[in-house]
Amino acid sequence: MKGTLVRSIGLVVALLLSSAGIAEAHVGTGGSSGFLSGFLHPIMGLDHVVAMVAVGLWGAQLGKPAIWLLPVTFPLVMALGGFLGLVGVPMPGVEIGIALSGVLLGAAVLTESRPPMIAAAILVGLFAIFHGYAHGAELPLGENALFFSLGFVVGTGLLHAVGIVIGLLYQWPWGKVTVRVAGGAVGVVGAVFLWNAIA
Amino acid sequence: MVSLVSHAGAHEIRPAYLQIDQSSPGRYTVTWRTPTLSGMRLPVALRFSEPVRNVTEPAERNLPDSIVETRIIETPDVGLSGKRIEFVGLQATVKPSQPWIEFSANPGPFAAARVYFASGVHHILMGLDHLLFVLGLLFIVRSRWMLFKTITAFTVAHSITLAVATLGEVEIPALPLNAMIALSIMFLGPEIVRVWRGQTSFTIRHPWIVAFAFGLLHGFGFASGLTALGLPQGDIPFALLMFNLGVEAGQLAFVGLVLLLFAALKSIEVRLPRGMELLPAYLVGGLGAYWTIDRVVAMLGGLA
Amino acid sequence: MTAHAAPRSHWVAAMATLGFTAVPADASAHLMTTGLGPLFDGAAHFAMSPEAMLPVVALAIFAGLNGVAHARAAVQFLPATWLLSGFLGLLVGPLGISGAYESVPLIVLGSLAAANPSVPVWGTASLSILLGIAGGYGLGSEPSGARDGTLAVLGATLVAFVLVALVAAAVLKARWDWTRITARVVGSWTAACGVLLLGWALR
Repeated sequence: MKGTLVRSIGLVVALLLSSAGIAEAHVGTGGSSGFLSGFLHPIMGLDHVVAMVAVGLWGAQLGKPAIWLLPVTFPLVMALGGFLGLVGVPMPGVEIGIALSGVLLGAAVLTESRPPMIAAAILVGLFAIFHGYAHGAELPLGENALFFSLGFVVGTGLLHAVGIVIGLLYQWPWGKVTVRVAGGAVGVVGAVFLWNAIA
Repeated sequence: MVSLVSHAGAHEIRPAYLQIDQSSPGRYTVTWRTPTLSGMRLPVALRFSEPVRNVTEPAERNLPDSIVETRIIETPDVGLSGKRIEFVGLQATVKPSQPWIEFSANPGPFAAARVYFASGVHHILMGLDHLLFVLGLLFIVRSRWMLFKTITAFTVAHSITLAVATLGEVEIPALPLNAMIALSIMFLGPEIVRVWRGQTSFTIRHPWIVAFAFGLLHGFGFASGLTALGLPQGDIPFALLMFNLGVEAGQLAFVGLVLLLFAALKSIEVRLPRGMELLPAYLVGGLGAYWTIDRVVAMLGGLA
Repeated sequence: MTAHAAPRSHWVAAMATLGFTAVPADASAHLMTTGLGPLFDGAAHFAMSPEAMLPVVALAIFAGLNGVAHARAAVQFLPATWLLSGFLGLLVGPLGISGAYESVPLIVLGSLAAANPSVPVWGTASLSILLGIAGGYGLGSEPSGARDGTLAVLGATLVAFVLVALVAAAVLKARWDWTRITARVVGSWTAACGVLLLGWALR
């Protein structure tokens, strides 16, 4: 936590020193550091990164309407998880849940499984709540809550976009293989984290 | 020369602010605002390096969320170049950053370019009269090609006079000049009315000629802004170029924004209510007339 | 926002924003400003406050997705009520209500933009009026460094007007599926930020 703060202060100072000029002088610097730390938050944890890319991959694999339902609803469900974390609702086994969802999502992409929409939504929704719970509530000291949330939500959304863009390869035969391999890789990373979480 | 700490609208973040204005050679007014939190003051003080000394002791003023300290400082030699301001108390809080600023004795060409470019942008955005004239032109031009010609003519014209006036070839007293600029805005009001009524006139057929003619006037106005800023000895053309580019950048941004807004309103089918279609014309003409009267009175007052 | 945080943490926050840039300005530049006068200060204050900007964007997306009549209602009613409410806020001052309410426009309008339900035009108009009242009052009553509050309110209103018009028109023109989805994703992000903000306010 302390390291994050020092780093973000360094970032602010660097940003400020590099930006001069009347027009830029009012740019909210506290904001940019809060945004940045929020933005970097979901990107820094590998377990989150791979699981969210997997969500995007799966969405692209399942096609319409999952492909567009996903980016619209995921942030909201994730924020709900963050909300639960913020108001202090206890949730045991968050790390295990995140790792497990990584394994399951990866396996789903690898095996091209097409469960009913409801089942897919519940799996992704659970993961969204875990993800939000684990990281949405970690506001670094002295940052603006809204800027941090904004960065956090945008960072998460862009990770999905990465998954969806990779998933667009699915329309070609070689792309199908690529997507499935990527899903397998996600499953492996999830399994490693699951092992660490349990052990 | 001003050094300022940026301000953010955010709630928990209360930045400090430092401004230094030169009042005469070797003399500067220093304004230092520190935020307060529940009545407590941010524990940061200013310290100037030798041989800067206070002419007046710091005078403090309490605002709801901050304390503002004003003082006048003096340097015996060439100015603040190479001097350093330390922020006492900041070292303890922010270790890795730099708790002082230094006024570089010889700012690099890039820094100087940025300063003049920024002040060009600043000047056009501050100059509501220039923007209003451009806005008036946008109401008059009827096609893209005409728009391009008109804006280019205005740009070329004010660049010419800005250069001529800055290089000291021609000098125009400020008061009559300002009155003339205001008159140029007032002139556009009736033209916009004519456009709306479907009538035509020389201006509506050839807006670029009018833009060029009045652009010559506006260029003198920009020049007064540039000379007020102070010019580097030896490299005036470079400063002039950067300032001019800044003015054009600000003007293009304004034109782009207005055109985007026009297009947006057209697609949403928002129109001015019946009976108020001439509002833009009256706004441009009315403000032009107000400034004309205001500035003529100032001019006559200056003569008397 | 966190009432229990020690003052020290706020100092750290303040320190984090200390930084310096050398910029030119003329004598008219004053405190807490862009150096461009109260009109621009008001505009900048608004543009730098995402809690004020995002609901406007969400409203514009919602209105734009619903069609021309809705977009027109938003563009007409929002700036008008924003201006009036801003002046009212200027006169009356801050109301001292809980910061938790700040998240309500974000959640409501963000969710509406994300879900894209069909509502009658008067529904969009009412939402625009409500947001105009809340947003205008919030910015107008906030103490700022601008000397001339009237011009600051006018500046903020202008930005709100331009923003709602541009976003609504862009969304309205978006016929391509992906662009409409993107607009709804932005709405969803807005609502998500609102939910998180509410969590922080209630903590």
